[in-house]
Amino acid sequence: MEPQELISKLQELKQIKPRQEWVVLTKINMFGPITITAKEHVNPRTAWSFANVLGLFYQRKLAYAFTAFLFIFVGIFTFLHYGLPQKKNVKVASQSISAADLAIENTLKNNVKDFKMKSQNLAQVAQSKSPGKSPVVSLAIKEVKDAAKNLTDTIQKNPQLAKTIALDVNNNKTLLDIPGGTDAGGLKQVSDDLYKTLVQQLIKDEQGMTLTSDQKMVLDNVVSLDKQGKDSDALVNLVLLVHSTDSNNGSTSVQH
Amino acid sequence: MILSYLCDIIWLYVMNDPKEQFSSIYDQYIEKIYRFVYLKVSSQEIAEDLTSKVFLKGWEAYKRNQEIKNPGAFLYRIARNAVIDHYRERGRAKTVSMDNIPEIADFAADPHEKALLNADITSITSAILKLQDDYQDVLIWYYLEDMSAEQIAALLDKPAGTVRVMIHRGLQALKDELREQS
Repeated sequence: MEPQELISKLQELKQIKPRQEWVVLTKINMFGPITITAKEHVNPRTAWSFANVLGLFYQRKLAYAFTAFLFIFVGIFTFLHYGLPQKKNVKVASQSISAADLAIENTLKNNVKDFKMKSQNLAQVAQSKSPGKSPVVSLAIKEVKDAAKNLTDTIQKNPQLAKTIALDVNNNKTLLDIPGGTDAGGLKQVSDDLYKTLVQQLIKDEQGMTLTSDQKMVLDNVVSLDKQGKDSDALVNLVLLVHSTDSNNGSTSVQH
Repeated sequence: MILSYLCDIIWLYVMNDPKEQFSSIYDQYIEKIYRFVYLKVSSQEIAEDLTSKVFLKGWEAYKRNQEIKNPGAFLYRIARNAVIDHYRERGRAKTVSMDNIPEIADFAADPHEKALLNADITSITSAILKLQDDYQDVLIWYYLEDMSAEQIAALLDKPAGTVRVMIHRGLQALKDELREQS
């Protein structure tokens, strides 16, 4: 027999292998305590004592499972904590919008307050009989005009707020009836612009609402007055109409 | 980063457990030790019994001292001594007559036993059994377990050159034995 043949025959002996059941059984017998304990009937109350829980970590599979659990837990925690930038942004954005609305409304309130105060001032100055009042009246008129322009601009930029100041502007009208001129220093023109802006915006608002037949008739009349350039009269009717429609809808306009 | 660190800690914790470590050694060497013992006793039952004892002794020793550098050599030494003790207890000669071989070996329906039914394997197994212990060991380790002469030398605490001579002589002795059988 050649040496190579002999060696190959020797290597055939690698086929000798132990029985798989015996291999497993021997291993269980050798490292048995954990496995046997796991198979025993254990009182559920004592099954999860600290020592038992600690003992479980000696098993490799549980260690892997624990690692996987930690991975998922950390992932979820990280996601919940840092992973929702859009939601956060939406919240911040909504807060910013609310803050912006509040700022505009405050500006408008200040403008209305300023307009009313200056109108009262003009009325007082115009009614006084002191000599040389003309420059003071002119100055007062200029101040009212500026206030009216500011108010007009604010309404044009924020038409949704027109309704909140309509009543105030309407009530202020009498203060602007200055004796002694049809258009004192261009004040009439400026106040007409303010009325027109307000009236047109309020007409749009009312047209978008559900109106009764009576209310529709009032609105048609307002539109007609607006077309005729009688915005001061139109505003009076509109204030009444707005009050009426708001009552129907269960809300009231903002009172200043 | 933190997760990776955590996994490392868990892995180190698991692998620092002597039971886990020896379990891994068991998985790695169980076949080799069983084959080594089987070829020296030629009985499935005895081989299983002795191999179990080898690993139990190994585990007891490992629990006391985990600084074992070469677990393979450590287990083979225990296995050699276990086989020697086995024959001593049985009061039986180490060499087995050809007529006794079929009675000693437990040939059954098991896959590896079926393989042993192969005439070549049977004859070579019985031939190995008739060799000196040292020749048996070096031939098994060198040709079956693919250990180098240096590794065997370290295991037997002999020079590598001596081991090479033993391999050569063992192979020659096996050849002579097979010739005699035929």
